[in-house]
Amino acid sequence: MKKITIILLLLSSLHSAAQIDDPKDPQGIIILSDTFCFSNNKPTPYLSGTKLTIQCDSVYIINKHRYILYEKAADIIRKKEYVNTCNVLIKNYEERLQAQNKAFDNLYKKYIQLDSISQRTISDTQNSLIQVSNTITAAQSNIVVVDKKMDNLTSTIKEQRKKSFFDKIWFGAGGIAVGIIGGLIIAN
Amino acid sequence: MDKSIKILLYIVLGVVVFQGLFTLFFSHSQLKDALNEIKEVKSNLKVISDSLVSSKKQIGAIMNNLDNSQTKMDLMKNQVDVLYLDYHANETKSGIERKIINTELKEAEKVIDDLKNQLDELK
Repeated sequence: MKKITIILLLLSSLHSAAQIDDPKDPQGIIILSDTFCFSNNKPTPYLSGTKLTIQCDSVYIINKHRYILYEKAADIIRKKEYVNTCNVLIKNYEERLQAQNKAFDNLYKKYIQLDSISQRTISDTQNSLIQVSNTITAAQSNIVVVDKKMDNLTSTIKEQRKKSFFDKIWFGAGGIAVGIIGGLIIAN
Repeated sequence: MDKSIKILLYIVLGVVVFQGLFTLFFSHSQLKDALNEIKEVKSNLKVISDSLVSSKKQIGAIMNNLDNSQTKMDLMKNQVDVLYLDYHANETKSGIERKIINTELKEAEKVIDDLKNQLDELK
């Protein structure tokens, strides 16, 4: 088994002190045993100048900056805030989409109704106009008939007037003649 | 013949002569009035006939407009129908994609949950 020994020089700003419970060899070097390798212990900071003997198969040593970054990431995972936000976002989006679909369907239904009413109105108007047009045609025919009758009546009246003119002459002349002859008879 | 009877007969004959002269020169014919009225009625009928012709033309124009409107409405309805079908087709497509994304998200959430559990197990 390959043994890796790495001495970590952590930044001096780390406040925690080295674990005093860690086993040490006779020279005072801290031993990271197999137990450490598989434990769930918290990450252990080691200060500047600390010497370690690693007995694990392998260990990973990270600097302070990366450690803080990992802690932040772990914290985010623990809180699950982004997942919850994402779920809320998806839920809101789905609800919004459903509302939009419903509104769109309603709009389409109303449009179909409006279209149907408009088509019916246009059709009714066309029928009414056809009826009016037929009535106008009938009225025109009647007017033509009346006009012809008026022409006939005019010619009849003209004939009648001509006849009446001669009657009047006869009647007037007759009256004058009767008056003159009657006067002569009375005078004699 | 008695004088008074003669005078009476002269008066009667005078009336007859006057009537004859009046009939000849001054009598007014109502037939002439009727002819004038017929002429007026004919003129009115012509005006009415012209109005009716104009009305028929206007009705024809309205009918054309209505036909055009109906054609446009039919076209519009077809376009709306196509858009409606497109929308629903896209919606179905989007629904499938959403399902896939949701599944992926659930899987990701599961991974995160596992990760969280593992992190919780750490001291």
